[in-house]
Amino acid sequence: MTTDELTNSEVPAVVGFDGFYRANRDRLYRALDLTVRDSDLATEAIDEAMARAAQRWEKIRTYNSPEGWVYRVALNWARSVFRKRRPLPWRNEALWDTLPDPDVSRAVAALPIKLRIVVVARYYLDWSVPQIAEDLLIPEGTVKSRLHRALAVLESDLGDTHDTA
Amino acid sequence: MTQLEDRVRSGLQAEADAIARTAGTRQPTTVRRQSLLSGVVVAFAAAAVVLVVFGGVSLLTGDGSGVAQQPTPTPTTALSTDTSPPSTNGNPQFEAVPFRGETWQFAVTEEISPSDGTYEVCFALNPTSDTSDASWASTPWCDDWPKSDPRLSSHLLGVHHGLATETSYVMVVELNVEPVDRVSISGEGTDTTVEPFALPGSGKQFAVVEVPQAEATVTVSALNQFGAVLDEYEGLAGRIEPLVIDGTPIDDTTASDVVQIMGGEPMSDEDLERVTGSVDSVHSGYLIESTLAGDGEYELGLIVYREEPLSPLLQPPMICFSEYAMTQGINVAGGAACAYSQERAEELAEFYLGAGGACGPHPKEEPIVNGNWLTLAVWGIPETTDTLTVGQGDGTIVDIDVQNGVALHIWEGKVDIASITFDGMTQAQRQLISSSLPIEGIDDDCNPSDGAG
Repeated sequence: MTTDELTNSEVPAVVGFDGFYRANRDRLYRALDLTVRDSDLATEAIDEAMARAAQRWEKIRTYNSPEGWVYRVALNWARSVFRKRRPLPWRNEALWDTLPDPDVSRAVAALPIKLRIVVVARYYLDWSVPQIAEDLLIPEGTVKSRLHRALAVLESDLGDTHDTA
Repeated sequence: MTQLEDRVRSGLQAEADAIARTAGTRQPTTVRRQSLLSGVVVAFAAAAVVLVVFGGVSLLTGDGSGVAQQPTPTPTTALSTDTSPPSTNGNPQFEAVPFRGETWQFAVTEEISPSDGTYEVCFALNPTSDTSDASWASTPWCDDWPKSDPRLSSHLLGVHHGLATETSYVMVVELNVEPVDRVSISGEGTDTTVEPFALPGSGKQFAVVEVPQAEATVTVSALNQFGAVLDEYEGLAGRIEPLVIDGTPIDDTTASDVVQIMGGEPMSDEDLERVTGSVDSVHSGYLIESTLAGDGEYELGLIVYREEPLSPLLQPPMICFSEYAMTQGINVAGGAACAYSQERAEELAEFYLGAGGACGPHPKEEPIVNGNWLTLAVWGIPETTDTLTVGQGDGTIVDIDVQNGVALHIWEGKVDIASITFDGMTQAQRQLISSSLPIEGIDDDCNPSDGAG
């Protein structure tokens, strides 16, 4: 198996940066885009984070979750810009019209950013609650409570039911 | 996995696929290096001048006994994964956890921007246990240092109320780059000192302390090596309850009471964000008054809004009165006065509630601010000019940033303006000065009672 074929969870700590980049860049970019709802901002943020990772790769590669580190740095970078940039960046809603279930996108987009972060990490990146907690430096209990709150809001917006988070 | 979770997962995956099909996915061949400051640009023109008014009265109640309790945190050696000092060569990042408590830790990072030599400093106070109040947990708060900011003239930049543990409040003392030997925290039952932690590159300093919940107010002092007070802050020891303005509580979810008091109109989120420049901190706002100036080229307005904390380290929710100047739909200048104590907010409200009318040397324009606040708005300034200088009657000088040809500044109370100067002043086409107070040296014809409430 080449590094190009590695999935996110299979990337070993010893992989070179090129392989890490190929395996993770687009996926993390899309997760970031889903979270911040701004393609340009997501692009800048993920490139910024990848650049930082490249410069420090010898150290970053030893982390348990290099992709978690990159995602957190990108998220923080995007949010830092987010606070300062105006007007509010917002996705072209025309994209949603092409989706089979656009209500989900609209409902997720309407979530507060803190809830959106954990929803995308959990349901798009498919990270476990402990992994979200570790990679995003959020207490596990907070991750759970935010997921619970997010699902409650989504349930209200989408009319679905959920038993437990 | 529930039906809802399945649906969310599928929906996100479909949207991600759509993103990939559009412009999102690029060939992963190179990594484009972005400047740290790239994208942090353009429209952040508001808040040219921000007056943050610290309240001095706490709504917190305690038994008043002031039982002495030494803060548990002590500055420690940097514990992070990388403690090598930054250099200008490789843009490395310094990370440290200089302060810890039983249920929290304070982390800082520092990274130099080779393009301009400034440092991006981020700090965060994170709970490490579910037993602490995690509701303030958020992403780090970042800023660039050294920065051109008048606050640099003081040693204490802010005392942020962070986490609340079962018995104490964790307060972050933000210092500037001028060396401080110790930070002293004193209250009725608290008297302790903490050695600040200084970042190796920028020199920016922090101190973190725990204060017993019994303390209503504390005095935070920055001391030099001889124990002399360099700077001092006296204020709340912890978070406060929802604000009360003119006897009306302003709760967490709405500031509609404010609009009843002020008679303003609710603002849309989009307008509020455009005016205040804040995306995730401003909760709700109301337009109190607006007017056009400069033959309609500029819109000047007054709003009141409730500001939610941006980070776990920032203050409790504040009520703010803010002015803005917009042109072509873009906020080009603004200023805000905020308070987060009941007493101070009530004072703010009284300023505005009891006021009305204004005067100025060019009364063809409508006033933009009422009350015992003096507002100076000057526009038509050549865009090559970045500073407007106001000489005050007491001999002091205030430099006001000029952004997009507009300078806007607010003073609380009576201010004597002796002079207004800026490069290219004679080229300015229009000026507006409005206030319900007489402005000495500018407007001899101003009649404070004319139109004033």
